[in-house]
Amino acid sequence: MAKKLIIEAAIHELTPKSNNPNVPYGPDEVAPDVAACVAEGLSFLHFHARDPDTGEQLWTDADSYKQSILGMRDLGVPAGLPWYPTYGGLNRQAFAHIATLAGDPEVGLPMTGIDLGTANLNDFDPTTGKFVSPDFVQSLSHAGAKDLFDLCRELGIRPYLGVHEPGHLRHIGAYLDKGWIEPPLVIKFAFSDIGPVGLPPEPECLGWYAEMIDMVLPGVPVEWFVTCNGPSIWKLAPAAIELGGHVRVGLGQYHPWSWPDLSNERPTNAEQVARVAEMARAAGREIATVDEARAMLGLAAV
Amino acid sequence: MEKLIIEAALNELISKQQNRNVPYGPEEVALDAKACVDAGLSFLHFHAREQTFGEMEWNKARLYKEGILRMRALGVPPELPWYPTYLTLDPFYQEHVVDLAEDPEVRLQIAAIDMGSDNINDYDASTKTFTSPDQTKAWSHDFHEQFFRLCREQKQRPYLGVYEPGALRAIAQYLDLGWLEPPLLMKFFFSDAGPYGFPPNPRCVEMFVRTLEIVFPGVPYIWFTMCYGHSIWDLVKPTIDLGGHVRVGLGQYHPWYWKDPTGEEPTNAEQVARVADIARSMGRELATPAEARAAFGLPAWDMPQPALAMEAR
Repeated sequence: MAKKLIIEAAIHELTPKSNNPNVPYGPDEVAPDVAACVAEGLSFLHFHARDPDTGEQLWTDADSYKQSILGMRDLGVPAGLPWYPTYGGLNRQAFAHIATLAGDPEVGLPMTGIDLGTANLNDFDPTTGKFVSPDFVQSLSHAGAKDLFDLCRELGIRPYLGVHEPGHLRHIGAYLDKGWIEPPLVIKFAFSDIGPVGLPPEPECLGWYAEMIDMVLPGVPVEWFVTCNGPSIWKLAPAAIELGGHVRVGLGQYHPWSWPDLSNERPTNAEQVARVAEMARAAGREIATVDEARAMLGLAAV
Repeated sequence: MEKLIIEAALNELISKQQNRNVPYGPEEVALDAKACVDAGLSFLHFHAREQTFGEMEWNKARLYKEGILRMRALGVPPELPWYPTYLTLDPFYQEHVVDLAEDPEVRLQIAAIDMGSDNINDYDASTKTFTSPDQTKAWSHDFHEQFFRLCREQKQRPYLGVYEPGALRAIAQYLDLGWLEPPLLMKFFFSDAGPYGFPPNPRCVEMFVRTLEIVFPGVPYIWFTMCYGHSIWDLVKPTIDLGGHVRVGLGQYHPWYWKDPTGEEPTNAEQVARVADIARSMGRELATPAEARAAFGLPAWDMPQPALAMEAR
């Protein structure tokens, strides 16, 4: 029988309400939004701490994350729901809130995202004809990655490995060879409609990633997700379901962050989760529960 | 199908301890390049190096010029397209390119640039060691905009080194912005020595080519395959088959930071001849240096004969 499907949502990231009024900002909005998503089949969550009024990023505000987590549990979200916050940068100092949340027994943060490698992650704004931050380079050296993997081990949390280019998958192969990370590996393949980076957001390219897992990590237990900044996620999600991967959706990755979304689409996070769940059912793939997702991601039961 | 252009990277950072056939100074480079051209080479890359110890003389225009004039005197056609090591925004690396571009005897016309940002780092699996684990290569979009402006000022055609497919998407954006002009001249990097880019196997050459089709509909381009390590021999056939061109050479054949465990010590000319043989067996003709120039979109060569050039000196 096909592996059960884990549905993840990035519920807001840097998306402003001006692009979609359904984007949740503070804990009072995050908690009910997540409860609605879980009711539709969500089993893995990502959110940022944001100011309840302005939506401003509070990147590393541990208390804001905790309020959201406790709030969603009050609404019936299972305490075992795997989730992870953002970080303030790719170094230990910028992970201070992650240490706090992992060490807080009431919260019990289980994972952290780590975007691997070095790449020109940069959106291109078609309305101005300019790159959003043309001198920005996202950079995590191999030594820097090792330090964050060490931190994960110290904190007892698992890394969720963000892959933007095929080479990052080869980085993972070397990190595994070094013993810096352990299976099951949890990998996210990032695509983008709005930044010229990575493989084109086409189903066949997702298939290549699946092939490359077999080339680079033969025999290694891997759970992989597809994500896309932009609406091409709806082309990629069916391919991921077909290929045995998992799917990340969410308003945080659906709309541009830095310019107006000219489409009239204003979905909710729960609608996006429900849409993936329907695709899975149509393809004959069952939806993982929160507890099943935990086990697949290599996390201890709660 | 277009005729096959064979490029060789003669020396890069390889030492004679690794392979005694690696050419160092201008005289060795000239003889080696001549042998390669006789075997089918039509595009050349070499680094200026000191003759005795092979020390890197990255930006010594004089050593490049001497190599070029000597190979012409040996009968290498002056239209042979070639390029030295990098042009970058660092003034240190602009010096030799500007000198060689402005020198009427040399007239350098191609500037190689490795696109984008990546952890370009070799990994010795036998000792499980990264060679420079702290190092990242971070060249932003801004950097590239300035670089391409410099290329236009110096009348250099950029040769775009692509490590990751995302760079192709960036190139498409740069083209759209007018920073670059077709025909695009690109080189796909594969590596046995460093864990970056697509894995070095024939299927991944197909993936690169398919990415080109997706990203550059209707845009004229030329692409080469290269590989750090012996897997180049797995990639040559699919590259020739799919309409690409091939770069070989000792500079990329052996590891730079540890001993080649195979003990193989080919010559550059042998590598070129091997590619030429494969091409012939597959029915693909070889391009001459003049044909390679034309394919790159460079103006036809109108310089005096090489012997005259040497006398005039």
